[in-house]
Amino acid sequence: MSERQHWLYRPRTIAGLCACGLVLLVAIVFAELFVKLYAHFTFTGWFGFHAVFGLVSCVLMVLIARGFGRLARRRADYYERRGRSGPAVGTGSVCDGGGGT
Amino acid sequence: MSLASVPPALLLILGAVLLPLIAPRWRLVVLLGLPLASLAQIWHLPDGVVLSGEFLGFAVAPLQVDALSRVFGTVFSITAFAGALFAYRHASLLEMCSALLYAGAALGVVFAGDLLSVFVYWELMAIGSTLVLWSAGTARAWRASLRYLMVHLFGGVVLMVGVTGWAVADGDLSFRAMSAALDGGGARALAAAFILAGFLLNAGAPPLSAWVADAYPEASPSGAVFLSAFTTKTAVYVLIRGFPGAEILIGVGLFMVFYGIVYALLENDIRRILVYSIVNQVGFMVTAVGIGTELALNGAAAHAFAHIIYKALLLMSAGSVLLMTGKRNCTDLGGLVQSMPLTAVCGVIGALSIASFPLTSGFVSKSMIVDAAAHEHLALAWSLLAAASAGAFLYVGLKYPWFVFFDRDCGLRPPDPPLFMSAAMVMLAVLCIGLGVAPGVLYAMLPHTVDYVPYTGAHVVSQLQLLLFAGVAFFALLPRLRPTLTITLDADWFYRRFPDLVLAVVAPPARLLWRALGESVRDRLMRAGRYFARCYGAREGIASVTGSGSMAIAALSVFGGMLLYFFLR
Repeated sequence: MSERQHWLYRPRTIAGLCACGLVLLVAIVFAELFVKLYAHFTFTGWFGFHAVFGLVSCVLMVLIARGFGRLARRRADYYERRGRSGPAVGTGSVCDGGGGT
Repeated sequence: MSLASVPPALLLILGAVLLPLIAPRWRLVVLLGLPLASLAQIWHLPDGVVLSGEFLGFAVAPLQVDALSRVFGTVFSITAFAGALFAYRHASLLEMCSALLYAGAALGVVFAGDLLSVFVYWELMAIGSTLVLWSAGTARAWRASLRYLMVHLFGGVVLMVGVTGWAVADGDLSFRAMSAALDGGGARALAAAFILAGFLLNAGAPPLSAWVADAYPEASPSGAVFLSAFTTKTAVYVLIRGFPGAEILIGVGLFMVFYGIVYALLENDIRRILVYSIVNQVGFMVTAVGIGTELALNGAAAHAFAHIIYKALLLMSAGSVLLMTGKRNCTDLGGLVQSMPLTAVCGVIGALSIASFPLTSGFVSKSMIVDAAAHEHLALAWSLLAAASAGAFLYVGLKYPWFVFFDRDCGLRPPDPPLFMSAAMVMLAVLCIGLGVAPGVLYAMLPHTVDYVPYTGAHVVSQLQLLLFAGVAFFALLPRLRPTLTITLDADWFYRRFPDLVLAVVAPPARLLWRALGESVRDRLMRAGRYFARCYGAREGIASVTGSGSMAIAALSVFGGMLLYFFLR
């Protein structure tokens, strides 16, 4: 390819961005040592609560969404395929839901 | 009535009627001038009832102004301006007229002082938005607009039942808080419940949330910008005014928040991801209305303001991608930052705003809602709202820009969109950052006195922890988040597929029964059928139609006539 690689896609940039991200993550957790966070409820008081809460709740949401997706996902042309007799739901039209690329 | 008391709605609605008569080269002036004129008028009008009259023995106030209506009126005018700028070069004349009508009707609702005026503008908004959808000109948009219209006409009937019931049970049609009536029992409670249901339908609340994601992504690139701004946020406005502190709204709002997240996580169509996030964000506002404290109601109004701007920005960036590439799915896109840097930057600013990153508009508005839940010691609601804030970064703040502008290179190299579109995006992006940096401007507009400081060290650190670790979850789960060529079933299945199933089950036995009947019986039944078709069929007889367009024009002319009459009286 004659096109020059965009600076954002160069391996060095990507490595640099990853490193910055890691530093930022560590910094923001340890910032709690210097800033007293509000404890709205007793369970929010411990160190790093918001970080853990953000991570865990997002993982849970993705898992729940994928579980729901197994039930409710259909092929993209589901509503365009009209006039098919027989049950339209359940048989054969459920997508694998796997992270197909 | 003097010129000083012209309703802002009338300016835009008259503009919609007159636009086709204006020479094309002057249309831009009208399209941009009218929203600015309505904005000036909103800030010029005095507080209180400006226009009043009597209709069917009820006192009506078609124009009433206070701080709450002014907040919504202001952001509606700004969006109408930015949307018109974005639409000008590519939208059809029909779309521009419909958008003006739609924006005007939305302004009408927020400045209506009585339920009858609310209803009239409410229905006009349904007509305007359907026309915006139609003007996309595709077969998919046409079918989606019919489903959209069906749902909204149904919602209109529900609202009308409520308003009529309220007129009978209460007798006073002035638009005021009705939350107490919900718990009171009797006819007033029933009427209030119908009104609430009518309002909630437009907010995208369950069980009929599906209309939002079914219709909006089928609009034209600019049509979706207008659609995202008005209907659902007008619903938030009427909820704030009509049902503050109605506890049921906390549950409804929280459901909407997670409905939006789950569906957006599974979605592939870029504009549909953004549309699901409308339901998600409106869910925050509905929850706030349910909490009902001054901080919560301020939060709902502020978040509606911020949301309209960043959502319009996001849909403009997605619309630009659609226009420049012709692709609408994440699976076909990626790496566009290389040739569309401006669109990417604007998209990222919108995404950071919706995720309520510090220094963006979302941070100063959404935090008010989450903190309002904490102040009321609603531990579960607070936890869910905080989790949803993190989720918003995951499912749209990262998913949308990542799969469209970054990630794998799809090989497409479209340029940034033309000048007018880029200018509209830059304008809204500047507003997103501006409101985040100087929230005082927004806070000064809110209905209740604001005693809230968003930028404290504790708040910034806790929010960044929440969001950055949501980012960790995104990249850790990236393979599982990769979109697939699928759609996700929703409640619209019941009116899109279920009838087919019923037919498939009922048809074979009915056919057998038909064959079993004697020749003469069949003949008589056929003749009866033909007779009914002649009398009541769609092509001739009582129910014949001469096109919905003519009906819309008839309705518009009647309404325009009424407006003129009251204006000149």
